[in-house]
Amino acid sequence: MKELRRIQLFFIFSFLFSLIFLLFFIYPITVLLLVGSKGIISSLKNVSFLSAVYVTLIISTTAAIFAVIFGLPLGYIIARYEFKFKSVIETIIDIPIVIPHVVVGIMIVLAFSSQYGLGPFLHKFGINVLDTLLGAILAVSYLSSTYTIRIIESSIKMIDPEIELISRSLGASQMRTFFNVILPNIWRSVANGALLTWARATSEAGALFIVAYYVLLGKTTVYPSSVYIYESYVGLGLIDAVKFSAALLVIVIGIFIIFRLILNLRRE
Amino acid sequence: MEALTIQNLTIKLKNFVLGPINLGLEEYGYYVIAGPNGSGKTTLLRSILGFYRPLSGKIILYGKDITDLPIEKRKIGYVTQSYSLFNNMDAKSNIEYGLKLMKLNKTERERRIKEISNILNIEDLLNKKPKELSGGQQQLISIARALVVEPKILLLDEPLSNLDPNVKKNLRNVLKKITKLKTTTIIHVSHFIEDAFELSTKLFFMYRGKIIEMGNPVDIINNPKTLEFSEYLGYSNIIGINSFNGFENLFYKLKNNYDDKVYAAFRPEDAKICISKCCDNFLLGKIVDVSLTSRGFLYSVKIYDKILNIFSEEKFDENSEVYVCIDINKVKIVKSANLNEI
Repeated sequence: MKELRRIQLFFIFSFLFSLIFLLFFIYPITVLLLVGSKGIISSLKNVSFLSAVYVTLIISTTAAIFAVIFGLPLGYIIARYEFKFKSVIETIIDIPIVIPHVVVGIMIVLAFSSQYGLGPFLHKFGINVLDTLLGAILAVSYLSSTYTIRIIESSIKMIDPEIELISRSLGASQMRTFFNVILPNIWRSVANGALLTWARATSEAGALFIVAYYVLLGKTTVYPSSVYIYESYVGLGLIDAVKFSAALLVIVIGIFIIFRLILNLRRE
Repeated sequence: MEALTIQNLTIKLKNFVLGPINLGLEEYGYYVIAGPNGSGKTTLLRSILGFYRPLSGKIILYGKDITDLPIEKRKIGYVTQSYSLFNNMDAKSNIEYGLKLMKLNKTERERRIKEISNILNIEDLLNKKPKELSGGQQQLISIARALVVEPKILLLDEPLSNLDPNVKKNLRNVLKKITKLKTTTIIHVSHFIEDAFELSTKLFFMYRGKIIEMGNPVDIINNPKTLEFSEYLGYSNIIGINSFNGFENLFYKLKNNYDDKVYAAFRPEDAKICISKCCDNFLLGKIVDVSLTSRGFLYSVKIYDKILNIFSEEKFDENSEVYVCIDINKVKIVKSANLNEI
């Protein structure tokens, strides 16, 4: 009887704590959507806001693609090989998570400025990061690629290494084996990793404040959406910031949910 | 004709050294490599496959040095104990995978798939996904996938390990059938000595990275020469015959024939326990432990300072004094393998 009560108590506590945490996630979103709901439609008709969302989606989608292209080989190497200084490489992969985002922004500006590091060389070819799409993509990629790399690594680790040996014994090169046998088995994880990187990149603000407060697109300047919302909060007040935030939330969470649904549909 | 020749092959891994290995395998033979865990069986197999780069030595396949050739160029088939089917393909596509890489046309691919499916009796499984197949069925597909590309050598890494006894028996029959077809030379790493008895033309026994016994399976299993192989075969009673350990009287005839340090090895079933004197050369002992096994009672009997394991169908009490009769004709004289000299 005593044991049964102890088990019940465990479940009650687990349920209660989980519920509190989930409410903590949901509550601010609900309030924001409730307060901002009336302004969502008007925000989605606002050209300058839509331009900001457009720029943000370009930045985050490019960062996600970048993370997949470069993350696949890196994730494969750390999943499959044991070598000296592997832990150093793993630490390097995790470093972006611990650096404050504003500091990352400063690092990117400094590393590609006309005076330091590779900057002078790159500037000769007209490669500039300050207030450009390239700078914004570099900053958010630095901050968000870790998620894709780690997810790719863990999904490759779950695949029997013998499968690769068998594919090769049947005549496939290592590259072909990767594309024929490994990738078809991990593509869902890769897509999930890319989605996380995309979501993280979409929400980035701190580094963009430094690197690309606004982005030069031809002769016009466009704020990334996070900066746009910050500007409206500072310049127009909380209520305007709320309606733009709610509109951005609907777009981002909408894309996130649709992508997840497609992935799950493919699984079924 | 020699299919595979291995000359002084040495592989160095983190905490393990394989070799030097010297082997010569005749075409279409069936070779079983046995040995305890960690003896280097799989390492040897993977070295032949090309997964490990040798420190020294050569691997020659039908006269061609393949030591530095990548895995995909060796034409060596590989089957593992975990089946390792490609989950993103159905059974037929798994079999077809290698044929596509060979760039064979569709008609030829279909012909070969039909042929191998017929031999292995897997026609009904071709449209199924790996997840829908049992362990034995997956292993059949795995074998078909390796065989369909007509490898010069087929490496089997404990292919029967994870299977039920009945499935194991069926697969052994399939392997026998493949051997009779004489299309490839098979090297089979196995834990089961029955595999060597039933299938192999030659058995190799590995210990600590070296091959320490080899020969006709029936001959070497019935007459192990080394302490290590005899222990592997279940000769759990090992007594030094040139040392003063109380057993001198029993082994005095054998003792004169050997100069070196040699051991008498016998299995638990090669001795008998009696409550009263039941042979001339008996030994007196005390039962210190009893356990029940599928073959009867297994007794631990203390004789002098030695504990012997002896099977009996009769029940004796623990701590009782008993007479032990060892069948001297079944005792094997073995030496410890000098691993430094091999």
